[in-house]
Amino acid sequence: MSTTDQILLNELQYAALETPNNGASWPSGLWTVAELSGYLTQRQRRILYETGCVCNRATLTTTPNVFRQPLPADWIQTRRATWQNPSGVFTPLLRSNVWYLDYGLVSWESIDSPVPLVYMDDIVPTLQIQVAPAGLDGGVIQILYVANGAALANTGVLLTIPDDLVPILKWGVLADMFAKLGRGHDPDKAAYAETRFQLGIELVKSFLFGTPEGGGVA
Amino acid sequence: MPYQITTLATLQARLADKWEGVPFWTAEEARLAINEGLRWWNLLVGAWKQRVVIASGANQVWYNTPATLLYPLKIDWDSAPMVQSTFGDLDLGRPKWEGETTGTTGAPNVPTLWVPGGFTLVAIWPADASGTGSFGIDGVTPAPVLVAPTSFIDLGEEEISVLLGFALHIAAFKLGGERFAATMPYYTAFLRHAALKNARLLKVKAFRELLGRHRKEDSVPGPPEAVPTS
Repeated sequence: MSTTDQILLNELQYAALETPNNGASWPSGLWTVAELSGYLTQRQRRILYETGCVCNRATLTTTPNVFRQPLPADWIQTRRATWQNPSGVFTPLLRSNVWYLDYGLVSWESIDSPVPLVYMDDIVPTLQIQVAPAGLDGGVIQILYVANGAALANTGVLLTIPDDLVPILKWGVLADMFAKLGRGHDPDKAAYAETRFQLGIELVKSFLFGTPEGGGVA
Repeated sequence: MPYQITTLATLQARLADKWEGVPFWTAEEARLAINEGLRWWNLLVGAWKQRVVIASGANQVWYNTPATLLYPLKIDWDSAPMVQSTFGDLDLGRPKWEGETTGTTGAPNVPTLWVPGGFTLVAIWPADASGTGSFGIDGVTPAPVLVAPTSFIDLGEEEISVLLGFALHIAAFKLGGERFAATMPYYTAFLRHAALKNARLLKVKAFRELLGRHRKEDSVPGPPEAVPTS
């Protein structure tokens, strides 16, 4: 990744008929620097969340007999979780939810098990993951997760997404810019930009997860 | 396909031929539009590829995708092809896979499967116990970024023409209205040409809808459309 927020902001200024100055100012008054920073940050996080194109790994130290464990502070989505016991043996944790447990394993909250079977994040507070049954052997949870993107504040910060995905981000931000209610509102441009953004998202997802007709790599 | 080396200066000049001489766009805008076109082309068809060889680590399961690659397409172990799999297949079919190495009883004695974790991570099964081998990774690289007038790309003329039309479409966005709408045929021509290069694109519903192909039958490439003669 070598593209910074300022490089992309400069390009956006051309597309919005603003004087290009790496996003330092928007003389028309239709948008502010803070607004553009917000659009950039939010759209980048959407790309990361919806595509899972940039994954990270983390090891979560657990407390025995405790269902809920804290997630990393930059976590936005879990892609995979495994339990590694103190001997180094891995056991994949399948994704589930509390409804399945309540009806399929009624005693899940009271039974003991050295190794959990499933993980879920549907009823837990923010930034927590829940395993069931609670593990007893002092193992750790290895997660493959999507991390939050860098906050983009027009300070020359590198984008988190790969450079080839920058056009997707560009069109997402353009969609937000022209969807803003006010003098700059242009629904036709906003709708078109949104279709370009969605096409980019679907292309990346098709690489990683295939299409309804099959294929994909992950 | 007749490859040729085309410079940024040539591309800018040919793009300028497509718009009025009044300087409504700068050379920098032309450069940005061309570079964006290259990135979309690479996303659509994976035009630029590279092979990278990395050394294996002893008992190492996870590897970072080499920084020069956008995403991997194929991996081999010491020139022997490995099969691409998924986390679901491995987790359900061989739950202990992540702890197994080539020295594990019952596991293959060479790395056999690879699984991508997004664009940036790859997992290997079984892990190489010795750490003395190497993986050859064939993958798509990021699209070239043209900066200097002498920067060049290698694309056939048939791709240069649709690329320039698409770049005009990108540059015309700031106009809006009818003049931007008039460049939509360049956009669809670009997408249609990409589908000729990569038939898998027709499996993507959003892509088919942009081409006006809404039927499931349209997900299969058909004969080339007839070109009007008048």
